Amino acid sequence: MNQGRRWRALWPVAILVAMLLVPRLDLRIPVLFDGPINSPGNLQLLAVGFALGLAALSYNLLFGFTGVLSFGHALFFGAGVYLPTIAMRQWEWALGVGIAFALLGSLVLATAVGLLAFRTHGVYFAMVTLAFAQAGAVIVGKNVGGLTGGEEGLSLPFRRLPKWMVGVVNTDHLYWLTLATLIVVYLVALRLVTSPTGRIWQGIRENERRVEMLGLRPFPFKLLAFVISGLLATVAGIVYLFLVGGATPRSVSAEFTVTLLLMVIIGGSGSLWGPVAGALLYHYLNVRLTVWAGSDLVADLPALFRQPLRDPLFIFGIIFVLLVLFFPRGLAGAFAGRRLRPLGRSLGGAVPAAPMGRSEELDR
Amino acid sequence: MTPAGTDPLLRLTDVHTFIGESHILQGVSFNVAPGRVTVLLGRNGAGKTTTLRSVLGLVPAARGTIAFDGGNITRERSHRIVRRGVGYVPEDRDVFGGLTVSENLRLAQRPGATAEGMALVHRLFPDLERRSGQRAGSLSGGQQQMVAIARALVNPNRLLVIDEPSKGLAPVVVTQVTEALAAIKGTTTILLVEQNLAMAQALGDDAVIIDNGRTVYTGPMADVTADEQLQARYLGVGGHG
Repeated sequence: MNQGRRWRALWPVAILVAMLLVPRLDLRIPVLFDGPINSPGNLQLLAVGFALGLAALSYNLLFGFTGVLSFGHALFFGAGVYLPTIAMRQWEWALGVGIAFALLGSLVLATAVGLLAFRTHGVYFAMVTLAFAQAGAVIVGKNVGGLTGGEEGLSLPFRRLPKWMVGVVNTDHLYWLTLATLIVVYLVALRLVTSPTGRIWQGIRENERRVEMLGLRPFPFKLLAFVISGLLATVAGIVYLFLVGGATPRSVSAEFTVTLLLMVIIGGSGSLWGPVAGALLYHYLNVRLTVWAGSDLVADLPALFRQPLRDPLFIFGIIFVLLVLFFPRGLAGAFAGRRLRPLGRSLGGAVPAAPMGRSEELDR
Repeated sequence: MTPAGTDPLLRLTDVHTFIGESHILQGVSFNVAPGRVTVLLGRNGAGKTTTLRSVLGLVPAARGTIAFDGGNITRERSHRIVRRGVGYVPEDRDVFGGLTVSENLRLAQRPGATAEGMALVHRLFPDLERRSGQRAGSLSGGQQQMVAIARALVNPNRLLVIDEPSKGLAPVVVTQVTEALAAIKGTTTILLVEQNLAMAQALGDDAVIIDNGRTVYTGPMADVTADEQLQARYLGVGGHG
């Protein structure tokens, strides 16, 4: 029993150490990865997965922990991608200033959207957030003011970045930067969801009226969840920008928000690490299935099978349906098995033995 | 019914409430005296639960006034009414099933909640302390009722509004809940809706009978207990109670 508990506490640490060591591991995993695991291509694959995991984690604070379904999350991810690029390329600002501008811009944007959208509930809220995100996508796509580069997007001016961040040879640095950001954000999110405010978020998710019966006004708590989740999505957008080296309209699209929702559902909305795993799996399949769909194996099939299988989304759709059928609570639910609680102690994963609340929190 | 010289803690004056098009409360008036247990009686559908929900601002009264401790709360938002010191234990218990017992209780604590409230809860319901780490959704109906009552007790509330605590509970659990409420009787003011006449008699000081959305009787609970005709007429209780 004790042994088992110790193992449960250790495996996230083991995975973390392994992840940190990947850029120095000259290891070949046939079928799963082409070439050594620390090749720039594989590191890039994993790092983009981490950045998307960060975005999915931020989305889940709102969707999974507060029960608020927003279709506008891409707006804040897109702010992280576009605002620093515009600041550095169009206005020639320094990197640090560009990042600060993005965070501040996202804070203002999330507060404004939240203030307006939370006047509505449920599906209407989702529609209002979608409208804002679509407005953002139109502004980006139409190249308003010549700032965004329109459908072409905008590349990051590399001369404004420190040397250690530029070039294929430095992919390992960007890998570590992304992973470190993910770890920090994860710990912040863990602290948040186990705090008194986090408990109120979970109460709102279960029943807003009941929270009111506790003498609390749900609105400021929902707005806080919305703003924090938006800000963290912007952080995700910024690290994603460094990895892909430019901004494209896809990062502001409603389709991207739906992708985040898929990642959260695949990973399991009841836990913090689930959506990160969901995002990694989604991104991995998305990239690898594209390779596989173009391979000779598929090309040699009869037309009936070949044509749908050539589209990676078709295969992904089948995998998604199977995942949802067999793991309705996502990867996190599948791993935790019957011991999973939809809330509370399953949150951490990394800290299964940590008490949910300490007694000093009683005296607030 | 208010003893001479004390102002009522809660005063309802000619309250009318609609749910959709239906005129549910058609003139409810009564006082709740501080420190006493007032039991709201009446048949199913008479308007007892709606009266409580109007007090809490969940279905705001269309006409009439509701005053708590001298302040008009008729059209106040629910969370503000609660913050004035009104604890509500709804009919369907409404615990947060996904949270543990202790999370449910901590969530309920408002600024100003003291350790005494939690100590009281643990004294009244030792079972809850033992199950503090258990998910509230996995508790039995009786235990969930205890969580719901405990949530109202962790704060220094001045009025507890409790809707049918015995509903759907096994007799042995009803006894437990009755004992717990009897233990706090006298320390706080309670407005209780209860169909179970035995429980109402055990706890009630004052009684209010509502019929078809109107107050038809206010007076001492003991008089209702003694008046079998009254019981037969408004409560659908036979002579043998």
